Amino acid sequence: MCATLVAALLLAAAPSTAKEPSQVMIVTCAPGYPGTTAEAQPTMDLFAKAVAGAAGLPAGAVGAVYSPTEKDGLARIAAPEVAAALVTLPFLLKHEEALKLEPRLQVETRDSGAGEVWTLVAKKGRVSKPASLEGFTVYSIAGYAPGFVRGALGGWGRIPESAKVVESSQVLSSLRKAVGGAEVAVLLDGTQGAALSSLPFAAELEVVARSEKLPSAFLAEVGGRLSPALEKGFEKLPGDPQGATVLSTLRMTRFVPVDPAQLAAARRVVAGPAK
Amino acid sequence: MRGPGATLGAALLLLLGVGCAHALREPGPQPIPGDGKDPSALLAEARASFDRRPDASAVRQAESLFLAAAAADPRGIEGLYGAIFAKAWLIEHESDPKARAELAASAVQAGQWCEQRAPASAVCDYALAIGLGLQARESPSTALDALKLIVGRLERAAALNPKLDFAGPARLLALVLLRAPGWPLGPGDPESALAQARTAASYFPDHPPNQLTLAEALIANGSNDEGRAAAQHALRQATGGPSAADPDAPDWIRQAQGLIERASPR
Repeated sequence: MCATLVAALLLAAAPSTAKEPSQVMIVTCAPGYPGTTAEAQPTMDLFAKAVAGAAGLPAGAVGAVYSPTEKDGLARIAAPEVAAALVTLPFLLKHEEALKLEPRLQVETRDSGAGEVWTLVAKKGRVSKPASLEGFTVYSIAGYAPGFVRGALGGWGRIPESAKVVESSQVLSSLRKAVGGAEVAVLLDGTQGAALSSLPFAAELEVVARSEKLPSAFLAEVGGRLSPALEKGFEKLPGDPQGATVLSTLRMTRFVPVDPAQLAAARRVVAGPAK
Repeated sequence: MRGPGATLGAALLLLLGVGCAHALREPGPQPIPGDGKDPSALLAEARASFDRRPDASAVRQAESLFLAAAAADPRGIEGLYGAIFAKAWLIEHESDPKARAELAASAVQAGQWCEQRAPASAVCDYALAIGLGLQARESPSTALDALKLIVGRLERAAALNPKLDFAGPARLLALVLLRAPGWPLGPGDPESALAQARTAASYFPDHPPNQLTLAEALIANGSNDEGRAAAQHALRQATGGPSAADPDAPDWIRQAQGLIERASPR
């Protein structure tokens, strides 16, 4: 009996079947966050249906899929039927040029509004300035984008090149390593940073630095294929009952036009001072 | 009686799109005593029926008999405990989502009745945790709320009676910690899962589900060689040891083979 249950991993509904003809696709990519493509498919189907409805498109005109890894996201976004990608800031900054991603809308979330603050944490007393991180390993859920991790803390300074940046969604394990005395620091995202004090060993850690509020996620046009109607559909989701429900399920509030100044500031922060 | 094992493990990891419904509701009145049948006889008949799985009609009969035993003995908890196990098996072998959801909700109800009858009982803590896990899978909107309740119940059961169901509380807690989203979204914690899996395996090393859970925890923590060894241990017990005659042995064999492959060098 045990084995059947081990295998299941909670599929709430059967995943959608083959892509319909002439269906434009939205790829959601959030490397390191929980969930697999299969597990997320029922929610993605609801999301696509709501977006199509809000855009005044026929049901089935829009499909959506979730990519839990950078590699999978890159492969899926490159497909010709993909019109839009819902991606995190680190992913956008790393891949926007190669994938021809044009940010069109920003995501506002229930938890952090229009942006989030990233927090660098280390064992108390170990790290006082960027140079303290020489030879350290810096873990982060955004570790697949080392440029982002090194630059996210803006005015505090860049994490030195001699520090190794490692992608990890095992945040607890990384924090335990830091507490245990290893040369480890952890860059936490907004949700993780806000929950730091909930940890039983929080008193042994300290917040070394925080980023300014950076945009969390974007809806980016891919290859110039996002129609104005579909883009408007995302903005109209809160006003549509199905749309409002699915936004709530995804812990989002709404999609708003990109704030060019905020995006430019984020790009400058991560790129660092001009050489 | 062998437990549902990894039911809880399967019920997790759906935070993408999980709502926030309460996992526990008012359970309603306890089962009413029926026609004066002897509860012990009903329990014996129920267990015999349950042991005839994979015969689904026998398991359905077991469920009814367990519930009849619970009704016949208003203070007893074995009938409710057994009913939950039967419901867990039926869910796994039922394709209709509505029927599955109803079975899961009734499993939670049985767990709550159990707690009402024996508030400080490891058996009821364990039983309710299983019911909540079943419900979380069938009704994902309850998963977030259920996780906290499940972990609390299993930790309590493990402290009160660590050997219950072949170290079931530690084993299921390991699976929950392996499968749930990690901090801060959930209690997921592969390192703590490994500690729980080792505890379960230390109590009953030849119980295949314990070695299977240990294998999974070792693999999740990067110890593929040790994980493969644990899965092979489970396979040996499920094919040649005393557990080979268990009705669940075919499932254990399949699971062990899958884990061995997963842990093998590419």
